[in-house]
Amino acid sequence: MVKCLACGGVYAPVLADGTLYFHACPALSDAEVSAALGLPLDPATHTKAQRDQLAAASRARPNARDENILSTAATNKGAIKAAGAGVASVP
Amino acid sequence: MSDPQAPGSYAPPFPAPLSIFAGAYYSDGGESLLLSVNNAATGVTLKLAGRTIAFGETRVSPFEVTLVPATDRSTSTARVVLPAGWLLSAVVTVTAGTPLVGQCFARLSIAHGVTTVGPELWTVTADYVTAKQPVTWPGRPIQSSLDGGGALRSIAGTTPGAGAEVSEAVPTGARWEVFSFHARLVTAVAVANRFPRLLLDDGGAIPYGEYHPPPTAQTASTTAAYSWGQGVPAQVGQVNYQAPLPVGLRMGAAHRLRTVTTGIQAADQWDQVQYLLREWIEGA
Repeated sequence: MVKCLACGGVYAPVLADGTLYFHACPALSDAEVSAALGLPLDPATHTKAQRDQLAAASRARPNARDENILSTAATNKGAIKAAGAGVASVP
Repeated sequence: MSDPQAPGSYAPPFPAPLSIFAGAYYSDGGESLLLSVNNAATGVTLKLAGRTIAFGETRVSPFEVTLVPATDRSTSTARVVLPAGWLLSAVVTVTAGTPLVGQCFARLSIAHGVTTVGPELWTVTADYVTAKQPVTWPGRPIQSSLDGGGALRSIAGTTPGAGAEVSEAVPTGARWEVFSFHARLVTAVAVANRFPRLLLDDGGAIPYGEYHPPPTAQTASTTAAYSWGQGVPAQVGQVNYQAPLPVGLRMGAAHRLRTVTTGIQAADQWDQVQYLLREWIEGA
C-alpha cells in the first residue's frame, strides 16, 4: 500500500487482479476548505456570507497527484499527469 | 528466379481469386506488418505469427515475433518486415497471461518502412485477443475496441484521508460503465448532519450527474454504508443508504465518480471504497 502525500489517501497501486490502479487526488472537501478559511465546520451554523465564501472557494488541491498516463500514445510511455507531492509506502 | 521488375515473368503459386478474396496482400518490400496493442491485463505475452511468400518463390516462409505489452493501456508495438511478395496470413495469440475481452486490444496494420515505421496504409484486422480468441487474418472483421461485452472488474479504490472525499477517476485509455459504487462513512464526534451524494463529472468542476439517497442525515459518531447502483431504488435502511445510478451510462477517460458530503467534518472517514464496472480499451 502507498499513501499519497498530497491528499493522505491510501491505496494499492496494483489491484488484486494484477491490474494497475491510478490514483488521482480528490478535490478539497468542505471540511478542508472550511478549515483553510477558518469557517465553522458545521454548515448549519454558517451565515449567508460564510456560505457564499465556502461556495466560491477554489477546490483545487495543492500539489495534487494524478497517476494517470498522459495518453496511450507510445511516445508518452510511463509519463503521468502530475507527480504532485509524491507517495510513501505504508504497511 | 524471375525478375521482379518484369511484369508477367512470374506467376504466383496460388490461384488468382485467392489474392482477391482470401487475403493475400502484395508488398513491394518496403512495408512492415505492424502489431499495435493496448493492454490493461498483467502478465500478458503475445505472439504474432504468419506466413509470407516472396516474389519468385514457391515456398511459404513463416514468421514469428513476441510482444510483452505494457499494462497501462499505452500502445506497445511489434513489427515484421514484409518481403517483396505476399503476406498470406497473420495471427495474434496469447502465449502467457489471461486477458479478458475488454483488456487487450490488438490491431494489425500495414505500414510504410522497414527500418522505421512510417505512415500506416491499411488496417488488416483488429479485435480483443484472449487465450481462447486469437486475432487472425484473413477471416476476421475489423472490430472497434468499444465492441463486445467489456471486462467485468471489481475495483478497490483509494481510502481518502480524514475529512476528505472519495474520488475515483476513469484511467487514461479506458471507458467504463459503472454498475455499482460502494463506500462507508464513519462520522466523528463533531456534531453535524452529514448528507453525502455521488457526483459524476468529466474531470471539471461542474458535474453531469448528482445522485443522493433520501435526505436522511447521518449524524455524529455513526457508521453507514452508501451504495449507488444501476436499477436500485433510493432508500435508507438502519445502517445503509442507497441511490440509483443511470443505466448504461458510459464514462470516458478522466471522468470521475466522487462523493460530496454536506456537513463533512475534519475527522470523518470514508473507507471501503469498492465498485463494479465493465471496462473497454479506448485510444486516447
